[in-house]
Amino acid sequence: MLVYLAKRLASLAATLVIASLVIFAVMEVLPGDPAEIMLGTNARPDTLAALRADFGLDRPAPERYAAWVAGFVQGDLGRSYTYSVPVGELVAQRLWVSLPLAAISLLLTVLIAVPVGALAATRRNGPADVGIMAATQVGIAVPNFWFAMLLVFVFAVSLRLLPAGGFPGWGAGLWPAGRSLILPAVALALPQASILARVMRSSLIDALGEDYVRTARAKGLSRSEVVRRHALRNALIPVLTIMGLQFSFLLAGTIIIENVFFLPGLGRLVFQAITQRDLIVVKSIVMLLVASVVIVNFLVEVAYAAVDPRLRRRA
Amino acid sequence: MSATMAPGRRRLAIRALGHPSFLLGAAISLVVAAMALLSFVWTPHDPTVLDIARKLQPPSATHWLGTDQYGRDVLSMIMHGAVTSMAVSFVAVGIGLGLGVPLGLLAAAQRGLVGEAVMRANDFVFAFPALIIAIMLRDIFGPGAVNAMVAIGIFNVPVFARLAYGAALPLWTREFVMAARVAGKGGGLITLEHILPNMLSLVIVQATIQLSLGVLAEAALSYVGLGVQPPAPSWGRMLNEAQTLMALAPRLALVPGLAIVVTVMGLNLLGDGLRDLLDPRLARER
Amino acid sequence: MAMFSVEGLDLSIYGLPILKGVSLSVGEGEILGLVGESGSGKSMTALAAMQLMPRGASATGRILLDGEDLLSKSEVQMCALRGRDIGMIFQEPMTALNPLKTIGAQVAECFAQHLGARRAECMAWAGQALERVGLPPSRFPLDRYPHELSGGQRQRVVIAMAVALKPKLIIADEPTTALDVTTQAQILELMRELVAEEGTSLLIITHDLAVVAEMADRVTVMRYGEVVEEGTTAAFFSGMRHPYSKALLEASTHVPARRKLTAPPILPREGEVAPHSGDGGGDAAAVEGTAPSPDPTRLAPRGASHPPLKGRDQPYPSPSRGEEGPGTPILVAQSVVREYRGRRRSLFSAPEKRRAVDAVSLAVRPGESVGLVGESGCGKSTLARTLMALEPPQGGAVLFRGRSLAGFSAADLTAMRRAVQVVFQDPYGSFDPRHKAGRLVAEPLHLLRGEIDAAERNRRIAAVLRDVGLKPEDADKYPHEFSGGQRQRLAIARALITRPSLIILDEPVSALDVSIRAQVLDLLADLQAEHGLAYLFISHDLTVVRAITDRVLVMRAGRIVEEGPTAEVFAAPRHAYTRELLAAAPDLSRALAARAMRPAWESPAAGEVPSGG
Repeated sequence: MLVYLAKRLASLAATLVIASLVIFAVMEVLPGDPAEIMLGTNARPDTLAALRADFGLDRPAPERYAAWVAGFVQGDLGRSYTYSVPVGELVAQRLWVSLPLAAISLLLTVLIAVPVGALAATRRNGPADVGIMAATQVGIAVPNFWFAMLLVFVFAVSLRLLPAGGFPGWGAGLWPAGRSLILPAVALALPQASILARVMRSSLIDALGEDYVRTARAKGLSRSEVVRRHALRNALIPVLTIMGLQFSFLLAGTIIIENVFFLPGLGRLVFQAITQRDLIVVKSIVMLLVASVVIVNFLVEVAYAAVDPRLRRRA
Repeated sequence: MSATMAPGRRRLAIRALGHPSFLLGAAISLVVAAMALLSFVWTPHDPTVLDIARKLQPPSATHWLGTDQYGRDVLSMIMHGAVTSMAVSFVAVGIGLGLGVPLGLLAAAQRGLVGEAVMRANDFVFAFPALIIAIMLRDIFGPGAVNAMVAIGIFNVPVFARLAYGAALPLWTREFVMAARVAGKGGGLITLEHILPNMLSLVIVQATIQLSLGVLAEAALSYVGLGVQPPAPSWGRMLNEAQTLMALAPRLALVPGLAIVVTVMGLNLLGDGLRDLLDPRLARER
Repeated sequence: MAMFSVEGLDLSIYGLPILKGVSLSVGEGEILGLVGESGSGKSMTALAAMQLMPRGASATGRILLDGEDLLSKSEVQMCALRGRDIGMIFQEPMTALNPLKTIGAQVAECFAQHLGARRAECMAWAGQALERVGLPPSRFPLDRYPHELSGGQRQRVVIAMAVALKPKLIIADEPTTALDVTTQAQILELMRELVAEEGTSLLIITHDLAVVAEMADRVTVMRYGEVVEEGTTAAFFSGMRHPYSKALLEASTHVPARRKLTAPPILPREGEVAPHSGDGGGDAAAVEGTAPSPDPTRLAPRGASHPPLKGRDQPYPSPSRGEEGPGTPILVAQSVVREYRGRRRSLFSAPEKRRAVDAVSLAVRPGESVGLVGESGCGKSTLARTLMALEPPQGGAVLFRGRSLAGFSAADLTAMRRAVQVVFQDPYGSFDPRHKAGRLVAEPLHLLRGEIDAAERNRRIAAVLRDVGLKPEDADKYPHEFSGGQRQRLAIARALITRPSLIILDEPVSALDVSIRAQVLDLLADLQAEHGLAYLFISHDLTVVRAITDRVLVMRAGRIVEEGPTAEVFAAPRHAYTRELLAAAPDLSRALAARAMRPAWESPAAGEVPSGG
């Protein structure tokens, strides 16, 4: 187990290093002069030069890369060009919106998908199963940002139950702040849950066809007892895999959904930065997002070992 | 994994006709494709012409789906949007197929260091969602259809590489492949004769699924402004423009949204149907 | 009175009849052997008794356990009954246990389910139950997971669950089929003891008449969903009435008639030196005319115009250990080693190496049939892959006609592959499902590319198909249109098409039913005589190896522990492991002889101590 963890940690670190190199190369070296990208091609030469000096852009690329990475590791993400504040502060502030949103929608996804998928699997080919499968078929096809617009129309514009957008900040209290995250979280969770529920269903159906289920039935366990005590845990292993993969979709979804609801999260920040050509902010957020995908996938792999004793001893 | 059935084309056709989800999916996909093709020669109106005088008109005989806030014909925009949607997702799937499948096959045939390197690189690319790639590439390609195609295409590469690798690896341990090796055939020839044909159905099914994901991704990228730029119509941007008018003219948000949902569902149903038809073993498990 | 009986059981799945009027009965403390080949419906009968039938199944008739009709019970009543009154043991121990739960928890579940006892108490009982089946908690802690146990040990866990609550009836569905012979003997012994101790009735389902002869008091034979014969074991084996039973017995004890070849054939085979070239000529010329003349329409001789390995007529080295045998060896293994990297024990230690093949030497000469026997995991298949040049040896060398494969050029390797072909175990997995039989059979002709034209190719396909008892028209069929036995004939045809001098047969009949197995063995014997083939016959099945080989090597844990002429090794095994293997192998005639020594209804003395593992 220790060997396994050490190996995985090493490859995690390697992945992050390569990712930072790729991001740096693609965003700063390939497109040309970063200062020109930030200020546009019509900028005056002296302004450009001032910016270059200000951000150290006159130094060679490897040096800039080293400085960027060193700063990143220490939490110093550089200074935003448009906001003139440290990027780290800016990002941390925005994370307090994005992170809770992602967490709530992930939780919602699992809470919906697992029971619904299990219900469909145990009522295989019955009316409940057919209904659930049809619903998930639609759920997969719905773009989350469009679904978000519909939710706003129904719950905010027509029924006036929930805010249509904006975020009062956590300082306004748990409920007022949390309230404005409900619709975005639902919009993110339902399409994801549709996919996960289908995975859950087919994985539970597979598990129910395994020999050990028959053995358990021969011991006198009823159908539902077998599901609860034997099949469910085995079925969760593939579900875990898909959840890990879905995380990157969830991140992308968060970025888009924040734009629908005008939530001051990372997604808004990154698009504002794009339109304002604030390269340093964009680069840092991209790195942050990629790192979180890599780390989450690492955690999922570690979680496997916790669920499956067969993996615990694997070198 | 692979089908144990030999190809019996007539039997396949007969089963296809009796498969409701395949038929429905194929029908929807064909309608969308036909609509896109038709738009090259004919649309009710020019979707790029602004006519503020005729803005926000409800559906009528001249404008079947009404007009938007600039007086453009919504149906014509939807038809042109289908072209954008299809073109981006087809090219993206092409990139994924063309790079991913050979890489996966190579990794499975070589295993060892080459295989490890290829699959590690894949895992790495997988950490970049299409949206992030689009953001990163924006300054190289500039916002537009090409940016969307390349971003979604790059995202598709590891999907197909993993699929091909995962399908090919167990095939390599099968006795019929060992028999081919005893018959003196090399890795390339065995891949062409035995490995690829036996996983082709899986690749086709995955391609339809990636096509539908491509439609969704294109819509999302256009919605946030990283995809097709005006005046070229796109379903995603239509939704973006409709957002502020939700209370005033919900029709403008409903129509493109439904177009996306129906297209994606059609492709997914087609994929499910193809899986059942091409791979009887998988079909039985459902 | 019968403890368990089935009366006129009809069963259909989605309207397709599976069982037709099946009747059988098991007396109290009695062992009934239910015999039949695959598809006979014997397992479905067992599942019907447990009311664990697949979807779409409906059954009519009566299934009585201690006077109560199981078919009329509700699901809730059956749940209370399963595991308490009927225990069941399954065929596949590797998958029968939940991989995510400890063995202790899985056995304890029986007690928790039916006695509603507390967890600690159930675990204590589980420890006792496992102790009874030879897995004492001192050596096999309750918190072990299934993947930490061997197949035989897992089967003991399954048995522990089946007998935990001292049921009235135990149903064992092919309980030892998936196990090695030595393990099989131990498991059968264990079951016999447990049943005798408790006076439990046992229904043992098997395809193996030897198992029946050893275990059962009475026998019921099924075929195509019907009972064709039943009676006491003694009466059954002494006077079978139904022709199917007789055929089954004949096939089980079948020894293929082998026309002995005393010398290599007159036809030059691939990779062999043509009779007139080099020093191999003397031997071949001396025996000309003694070998049966092959039908010229079957395999047209290619003549000596194309001697493979041209210009390498230097004398072949003499056989390494001076063994007798005709001609120079086709293939020789010299202290071959194959290692796999095992797991790392700690972060800083090098990964352990596992030797799958450990310094193995063997030689196969023209026209000779060599057996390689060993249990699963002993390395025999790894050795086979190394001999076929699919994997390189990490130590030692493989020699083809005296030259090490290590220095082979591509052309040399082609010549070697033409001379050495292979038949695999699985008649389903060894063909690409998307190609027609003709193309599949002709695949090794890739080795002759550029040498033969399309007409010759088709002639050869027709010839080999006829050789293995199929029709030339079969070339247009897909593999799934053939039965298992026919597919194995196809596999043999594919191996024959390059006219090899040696065929490596890797468990060629293990996946086949007994009656089909006998036919394929006959075919192999015929082909050997006709074409003067050498065989390297790899199998775990001693009976098969005994029937078809001249010399035998016994392999264990990567090493050859004994070798010699087959008859000698079987008659007087020198190595302890060989003796153990022979004693463990279910042997019909021996079982019958032993049975004759004791009265039909005798049970082992009560209170006998279980020996366990």
